[in-house]
This record gives sequence, C-alpha cells and structure tokens, in this order.
Amino acid sequence: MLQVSNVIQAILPFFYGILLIGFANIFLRPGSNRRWIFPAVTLTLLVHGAYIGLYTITAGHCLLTTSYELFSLIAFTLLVTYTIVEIRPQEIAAGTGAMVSLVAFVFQLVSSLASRYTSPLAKNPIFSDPLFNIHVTSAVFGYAALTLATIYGSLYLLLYRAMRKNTYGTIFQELPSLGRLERFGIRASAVGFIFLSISILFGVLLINKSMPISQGTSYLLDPKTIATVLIWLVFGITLVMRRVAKIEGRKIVIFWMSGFALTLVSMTIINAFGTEYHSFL
Amino acid sequence: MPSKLIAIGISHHAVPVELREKLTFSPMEIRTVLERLKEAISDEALLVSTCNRTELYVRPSHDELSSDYLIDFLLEAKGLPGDIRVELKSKFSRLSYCDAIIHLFEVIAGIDSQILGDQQIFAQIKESFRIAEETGAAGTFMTKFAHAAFRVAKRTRAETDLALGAGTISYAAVEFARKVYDDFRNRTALVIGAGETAELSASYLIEKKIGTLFVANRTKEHTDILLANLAKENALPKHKALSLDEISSILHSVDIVISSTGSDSIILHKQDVENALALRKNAEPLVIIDIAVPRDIDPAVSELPNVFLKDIDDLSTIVNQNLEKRKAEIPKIKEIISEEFENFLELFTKLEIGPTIAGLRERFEEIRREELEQHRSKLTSEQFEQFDNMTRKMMNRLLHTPTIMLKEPRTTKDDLQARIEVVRMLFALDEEKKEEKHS
Repeated sequence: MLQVSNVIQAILPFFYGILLIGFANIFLRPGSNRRWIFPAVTLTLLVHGAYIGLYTITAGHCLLTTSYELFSLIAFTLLVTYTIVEIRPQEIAAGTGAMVSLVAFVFQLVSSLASRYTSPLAKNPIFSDPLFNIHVTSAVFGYAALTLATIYGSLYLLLYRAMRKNTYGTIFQELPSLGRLERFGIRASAVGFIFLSISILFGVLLINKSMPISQGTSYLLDPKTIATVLIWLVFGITLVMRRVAKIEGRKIVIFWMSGFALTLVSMTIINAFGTEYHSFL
Repeated sequence: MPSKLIAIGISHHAVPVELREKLTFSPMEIRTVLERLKEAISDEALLVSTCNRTELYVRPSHDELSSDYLIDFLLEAKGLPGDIRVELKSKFSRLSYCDAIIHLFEVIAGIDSQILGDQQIFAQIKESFRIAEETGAAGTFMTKFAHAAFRVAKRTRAETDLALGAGTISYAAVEFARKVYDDFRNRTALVIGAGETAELSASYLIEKKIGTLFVANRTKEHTDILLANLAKENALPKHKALSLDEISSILHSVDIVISSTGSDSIILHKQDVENALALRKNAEPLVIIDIAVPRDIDPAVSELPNVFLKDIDDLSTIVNQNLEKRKAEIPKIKEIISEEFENFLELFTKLEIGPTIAGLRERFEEIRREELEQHRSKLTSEQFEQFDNMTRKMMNRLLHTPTIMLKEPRTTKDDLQARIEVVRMLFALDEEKKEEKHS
C-alpha cells in the first residue's frame, strides 16, 4: 500500500501540471473549450484524495509530519476550496483557475520532489490522535481558503487598476468581473473562516484533553495560536463588515488582503523564532 | 433546368444607408414578395432584409430567368419612384451558383457585415427562412441550402472567436459595465439622451437584463419615443423617463450611467457625482460611460475614487482591439465556409444526379419501347421477348458509361454542374418537362 501511495505521490505533479497548462491555455486563448475543466479537476482531486487516504491508512495519521507533506495537503485543499468557490457551470473563470493551479502545482511539485527523501515515520503519538488530525487538517483547509481569497483579492486589484488606467489587455479580457471576483473572494473567506473556527475549536479540545489545568494557560501566548486567532478575526470581521456594514468593493478587498499580509508576516516571524508549543517532531 | 442559383442584392458595401433603407422589407412584406414571386415564376426563393443588406436568392426552374428580372421584380414590389429605382438598380450585385452559395455563407458567418462578427444576422436569416418555408418558397434545395448556412453560423460561433468582445461603441459601453457588474438584474442604469446611440445602449442594457432603467433627456417626447421603440422589441424592465434636471435626485441610486446627448455643454458635473457618492448606501463602484461628442460628463469626475469614467476614445480602444482579434479569425472562418461549401456541393450533387440519371434512363427506355412496339406485329412472342432482352441489355450497356461519368468525383466546383447540364441538353431531358408543363 505504501508503494502505491508513493507512486501516486510521484505522479501528482503531472495532474496539477496538466491543470495548469489547460487553465493557462484558456487564459491566453479566449474562447477555448472549457468543458474539460470539471472532469479534470475532479480526477485530480480523486487521485490526490486517494493518495491522502492511502497515506493516512498506512501511517495512521494525515499528511502532517513534515512541511513537505503539508505542502501536498495545501495543494489539495487549495484545489478543493477553489472547486467549492468557483467551479459551477455558469461561473467557470479560467483566469483565476490559472493562478490557483499554478500555486497548487508549485506546492505539490516541491512536496513530491522533497518528500521522497525526507519522509520520516511519525514518532510523536499525538499524530495518531483524531482531534489533532482534525485540528491541523482544518487549519490547512482554512489557510488554503484564505490564500485563495487573497488570490481573488489580488486579481480584483489588478483588474481594477487595469480598468482605471485604460489597459484593456489579457487581464481585462480574461478575468471575471470585479463583482464576481469579490463574490468569489467572500466565498473563499467564508470557507476559510469556517475551517479556522473548526481548527481553533478542536485545538481547544485537544488542549483540554492533553494538558492538565495546572499547567496554566501558556498555550494562549503561543505565537502560532495568536497569529491564527488574529487571521480568523480579520476574515470574520471582513464577513461581518460586508454583511452588516455593507462595505463592498475595493475597500473590502483591501481589508482582507491586509489579513493575508498579516498571515505572511506573522508566519514568517513564527517560523524564524520558533514556536515551542506547536512543535511536534 | 433546375440547377442554378441566382443571388441579387444591395448591401452596405456599395449602397449608403439613405438609399439602402428605401429597399428594406418587413417580415410581412417579405411574405408578400415571396408569395408574388411564387405566383410569377414558381421557383424557390429566400429574401433576406436587414439594415445592412437586402438580398434575394432564387433557384429558377428555367434558364430564362435573369438577374435583371429579379431586380425589377424586387424594386417593383417595393413600389419605389423611378429615379430611385434607376439609382438602386445600378448598385445591385449579381451572383450565381457557387459565388451565391459562398456569399450567403459569408453573410451568415458575420464576415460580410458592416460590423465584423455581427451575430444578429444569423437570427435574421433564420427568420427569413422561416417565412420562406411558411409561404412555400423554400423547397428541397432552399431548405438544404439554408441548413448548410446555419451550420456555417453555428460552427463559426463554436470554433472561432469571431463573436468575442464588443464590436460597437454602445455594446462596448455595456460590456465595460459588465466587467464591473456581471449580473445586471439588481442594478440600476441611467441612459442620458434619446438618440440612436442612447437607444442602442438602452437596448443592450435590457438585453443583459438590467433591473431598473432611467432614461433622461431634455425633450420628454423623445424619451417617450425611445421607450416605445424599446418596448417594441423587448419587455421593458422597471423604468422611468426623467428630465435632465431630475438626474441629480436619482444619481445616488444608479450603478451605471451611459450618456450620449447632442448637448454642447456638460450635463453631469463633478459636484453632482460627488454628492451622489456621498448619498450611496454601499461602496460599490459607479460606472459612467460618456459616448457623446462633445462630452456630456465633466472629465474631472474620473478623479473621484470608486468611479470608472470612460469616454468614446477609451471605448474605441476596446472596440479596435476586438475588431483586430476578429479579423484574425477570418482565415479560420473561410476554412469552415470552404468545408461546408464542399459538403453542400456533395449533397447537392446527390440531389441533382439522381433525377438526371433517372431522366436519362426514362428517355432511353421510352425510345426502346416505341421501337419495340413498332415491330411487335412482325415478331412472334418468343422473338419479341428475345428482342426485348437484347435491347434492354444494349440500353444498359450504352448508359453504363454516362452514368459512371456522371457519378465520378468532381474535379472543379462547376464541373459536375457542367456535366449534368451537357447530359440534360444532349438528351433534351428538360424539353420533355417544359412540354408537359405547357400542355
């Protein structure tokens, strides 16, 4: 089973590569056939899902033990979220597909190339804990969705700028409308917010289960926890602002883009200085 | 003999709109013309009349029918005064057979239109064909011909990018607005002006299902005429006619403004838009398209945040880019036309050869029977049977080579037609029909 899993892992970049070529072709050659999109994305997700399933059965936990395994999970979750947000018969927007498949392809390629040499066996018993698996997987889903929201945000700002500056090239021709990009971004933010909520909830349950109260509330000061809660708040506020305060358009996009900037900065700092509480290897 | 196709017509290539519009036919008039044509010459016909062209396609049942006869017939049917008739007659194009077929294919594909890639023409030709069918003017040939043309149009849409992007300023204005708001159903648009461009813009907005439409103009009567014209072609959305003074009171509720008046002065000032933005309940962009020359909207409006102000030059950039892309598609479309032309010719060949071969055999059999009957009295029944068999075999052998030659693949477009014509002429196959018809 491990061999089958390894073979699938090795071929996964090809699936993402084909998606990337297809989406790029549609982006650069308007009017190309788009009927293949849904079957191709579904097939890639099925193959990747099979890999994750086989790996989980073999290893007894999800793709969590190394950064490279997480990369693969990120590629998968990115494509899943993209499918949830965008792939509907009336709303296939190839411009965004090219960007998403590029990011997913890079993540999966790095993961497939590196994992073969580095894949360690899980040693920490926490990897086998279902609460931990749900906590981390939903966090990855959440971050992937928020990354996607950021992709939509970037495209929104690019198109906005092109339209203001009278640049009517491929960006103007091929990207969906500003309204649709905003809608996709809000959907992705909602998906991200839900998954991060689940992740935070299961994180709290995990702490309750594994950490005696006598050890205090040190986990609350963990940088990764603080960053995640902050990002969760930014996207939560984005959704509330749009719904309640009716703040729309460029303002809301800039707000959620700042959420992503916060993610990048905080994660960079956390990774640079280390996080004791969230270290499992 | 029923093997020709004549096409006569005028189009934007040679005839200016002032003259062209005198020879346009409404669906009702097309019906009348086809009925009269059927009575007069009993042929298959298709009459296409749009703002770009009026063309008549006829498949004559006899060789005597000329292009001039059809041109006179059409001018007569419209009842035009003598001087205009003379002027128009000189502008008519005359095409026959292969050229006529290819011409209709190019027209329906949209590459012969004034606006390259015009997609309305497909629906217009379909409608013309429907009328021809209803009046009985479309027989087997015209039906196959029209369906071949429809295939060209469908393939052009499916296999090329000819219809992509806006081809006119009015359409580009609406397309630009759609780049901001893809769904117009909950949107409000304001069209300023009541001229042709304003009407066209409003019509595109309605086509894209705009939720609410305001039309503002200096003269109320003109607005009413515009709305009445729009109502003729479309079910109007929620709408209201306004005077120019009323614009400021509704501007805050509007998402899209398209202005195209003939005014010499600015109609919408920066302050008006600033006030409207302050009153808006949401932070969504305001799209203002000024397609008037001189401009109706203060150019300083473009400095305001969250406002897209575009003028005719900006939209021309979009239109020109699209037209360049469309031009690049022409070779692909010509290939489609060439393929469909070949297919149609194959089909047409089958339609034509069958009756010719049958006619030829019938003619020979008739002669053989006549000769046999003349000698019946001199022969015993056994001898008669032998002669019957022998002459039948002889006839079959004699006809074998011409039949094969007729069925052989064509070497040129008109080759088959020439072969059919020669056979029909040599053996006087059409003379028989004519005689039957006269008797």
